[in-house]
Amino acid sequence: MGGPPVAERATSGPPTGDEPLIEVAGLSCRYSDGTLALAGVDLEVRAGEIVAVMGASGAGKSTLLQCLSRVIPTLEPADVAGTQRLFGEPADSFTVADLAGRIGVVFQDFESQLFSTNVALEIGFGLDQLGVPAREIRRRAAEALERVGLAGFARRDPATLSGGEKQRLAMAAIWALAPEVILLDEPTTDIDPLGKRAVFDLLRAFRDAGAAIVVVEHEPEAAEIADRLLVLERGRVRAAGPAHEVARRVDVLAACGVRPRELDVVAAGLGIERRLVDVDDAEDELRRRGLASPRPDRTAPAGAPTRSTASSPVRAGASSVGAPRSPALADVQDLRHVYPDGTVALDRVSLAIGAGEFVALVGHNGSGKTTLAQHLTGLLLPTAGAVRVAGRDTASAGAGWIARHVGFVFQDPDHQLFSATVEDEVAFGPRHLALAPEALAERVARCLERTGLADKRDADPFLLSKGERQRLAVASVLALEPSILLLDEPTTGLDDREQRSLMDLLRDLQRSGTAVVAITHAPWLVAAYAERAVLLAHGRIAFDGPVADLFAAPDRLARAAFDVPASAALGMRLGIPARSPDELVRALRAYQDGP
Amino acid sequence: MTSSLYLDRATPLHRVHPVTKLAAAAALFAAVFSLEDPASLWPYPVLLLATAALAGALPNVWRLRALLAAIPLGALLLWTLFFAGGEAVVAVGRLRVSSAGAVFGLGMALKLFTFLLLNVVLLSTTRVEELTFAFTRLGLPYRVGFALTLAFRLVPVFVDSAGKVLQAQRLRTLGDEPRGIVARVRRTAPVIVPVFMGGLRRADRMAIALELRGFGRPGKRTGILELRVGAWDPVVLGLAFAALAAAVAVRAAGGGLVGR
Repeated sequence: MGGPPVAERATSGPPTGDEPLIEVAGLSCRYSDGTLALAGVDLEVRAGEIVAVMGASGAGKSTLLQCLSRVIPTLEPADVAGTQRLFGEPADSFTVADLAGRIGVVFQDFESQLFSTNVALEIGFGLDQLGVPAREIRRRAAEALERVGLAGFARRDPATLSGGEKQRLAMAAIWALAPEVILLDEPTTDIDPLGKRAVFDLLRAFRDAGAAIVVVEHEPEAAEIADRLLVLERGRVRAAGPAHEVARRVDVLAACGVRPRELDVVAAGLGIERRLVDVDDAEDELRRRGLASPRPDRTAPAGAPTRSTASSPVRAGASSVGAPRSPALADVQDLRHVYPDGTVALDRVSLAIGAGEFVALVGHNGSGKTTLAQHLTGLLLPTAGAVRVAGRDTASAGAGWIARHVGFVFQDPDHQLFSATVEDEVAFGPRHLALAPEALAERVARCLERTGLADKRDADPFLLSKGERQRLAVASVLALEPSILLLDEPTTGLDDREQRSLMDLLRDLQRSGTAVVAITHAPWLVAAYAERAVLLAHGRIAFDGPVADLFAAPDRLARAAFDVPASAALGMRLGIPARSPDELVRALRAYQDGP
Repeated sequence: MTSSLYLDRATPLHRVHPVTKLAAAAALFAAVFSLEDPASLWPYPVLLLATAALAGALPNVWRLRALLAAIPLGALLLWTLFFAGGEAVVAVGRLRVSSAGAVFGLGMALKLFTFLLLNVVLLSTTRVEELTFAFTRLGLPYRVGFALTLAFRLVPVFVDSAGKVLQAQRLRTLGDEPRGIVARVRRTAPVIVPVFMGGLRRADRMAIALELRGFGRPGKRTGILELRVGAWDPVVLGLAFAALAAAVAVRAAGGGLVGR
């Protein structure tokens, strides 16, 4: 069956028909290895509607999208059962190619769907395949680029775009096809808060133009833009309904490995029946309930700011601004780095990292975070300035020597796993330390124990889950017992449970004296775990100091494309330092209950 | 940063029709292939280097300098040592070096250097999409033409991935560099696993992405590239075939080969 001519819906208003474009009843999917990925899922999606699908890793979210796009079973074999109708017709009457132009798909790994040599050709590819006239292709490409904020990028090589720009290009390439249905798999993974907002704004715009959207997300903000929410747990629907209602069932979400929206956690924790729309609304509600003037001396740790000082949302007491609490393990002085193509990635960057610190390295995509981390590992050398690790200049020390002091966990764990078993992987590094066999075995066992992988020692690293692979990457670096552990976006692609488990591990390491430096785009993670934040903007340090002070300057954060977590912002309004919504709730409850 | 070779410039060679470029490349390839003698071969790499300069492709020549040097030098060494013919000038055990062998080795090195340079110039000035288009114009089915150029799309992915894996490995070996070729190969071998696995995963996703955007659909495609034969096409083609004619003339006159 061939699809109809590409519709003009991209520029027209929402369709008026009320027939579901997607109807799924009792959908089950079993992979050839016997895994039951979906079990009896029901779903209907209509034009002009956003359905967010949430759940832990392995819950079946991506499988559901692949079934809806017919990738399963036409391209990826699996046993599919149940009823599935697309555009009012049985789904099995469509091939994947038939649906091009009617269903658009954006992958989690959006880079793998960019294969052209410039942006205009990337957008034109699908239209070219559909036989759309060349003049129309040019018009649609220009309109799509304008829509996603990439006007003027037509001749750029997609490989040179930032993560957020690539994501928007992938969305533009789909949007230009004017699909009736758009499916997106974790479209905000790996992009900065500004990029995330842009993606969510685009989804709203696509919905308003009449598209039916199904988006798989880990980010709780998805619940804010969605009309309906579907929560999956091990392939089954655990909760479904209007997004704002389902989002408030925080216990169900948490049980399913989904991080709830922070204001919903606050509302649930305080027994507030209605939805708190935003921080202003939450503050009004709490004032109305008499919680707006808590006595900080009862609710906050000693030294915390009071309402009158009205600033710090996070545990006070971080002892310094821009300086480590202990002698520096790493010292960066006036660092400048210029790439061979002339890009100035870092300029006049100075900072020091001391033992036992937990530093969040934040900033927009392309701000220089990874470049800075690579200088601390010796993988890059300064164009000007100096980087010293354990007292030695990295220019003369060599990356091998530095690796004994600085462990680096790459963003994609698959780049650093190459052994046949988990145990071999962890032992790979320390084998170069000339340890006695017993000492080596003891060290490997300790690292596996610490990272919760002891029972996986004989497993093939490539058969582990993403969360386990990330922990293995950490274990393989820990085995060298570095005094600084650097992690490049360590929570990318992990669900809420996996993220917390990994971050708890890092906090344990920090408490045992290891300096932890984590590059991250997640404001909640900075609030909950870090003590010090280094904010990079356009290759320069825009802020270096306690996290509390970072969040106290929202204008500066906005310029650097970073957000204040809602609970921290609310706590700030109320004069209650809070690292997480749970902490805020505890403080407010303590106040509510009285002395 | 990108690992793709294409350089978006507005030079005359960039504007030449891809079919013309393929035909010119084939003519140059045939010319160089037919010759052995360095005295006959040297003008070809010089011509290509001049072309690379005019087409703004020298940055890629510099970027690939290690490859452009290592492969010809390897050929020079091997052919010099194993050329069967000519009188030995130096002999160490079973290895013998003749002056004819050295000349033949130099010729092979020049040949390989020219072939590599030809590809660098072609890929620096021709988009992958243009090559696909050229293959279809030459009669190949679109899917086959696309698959042929898919390698060019995937090579940068493999190169980037290999670079990251090597970085990770380098950090965990603590600078403990292996000695000897066997040790180096053994050290590098594990890198192949993650690069290959990552590459396969990426290729699989790319194949699905193509289908989802209508690649497998029957029917007429638009052809969004606006490619025209221009004033420079006959110039390029004329130069390439003049180079081929020169090689044919040299061979016809009994030259171009190294005596054995």
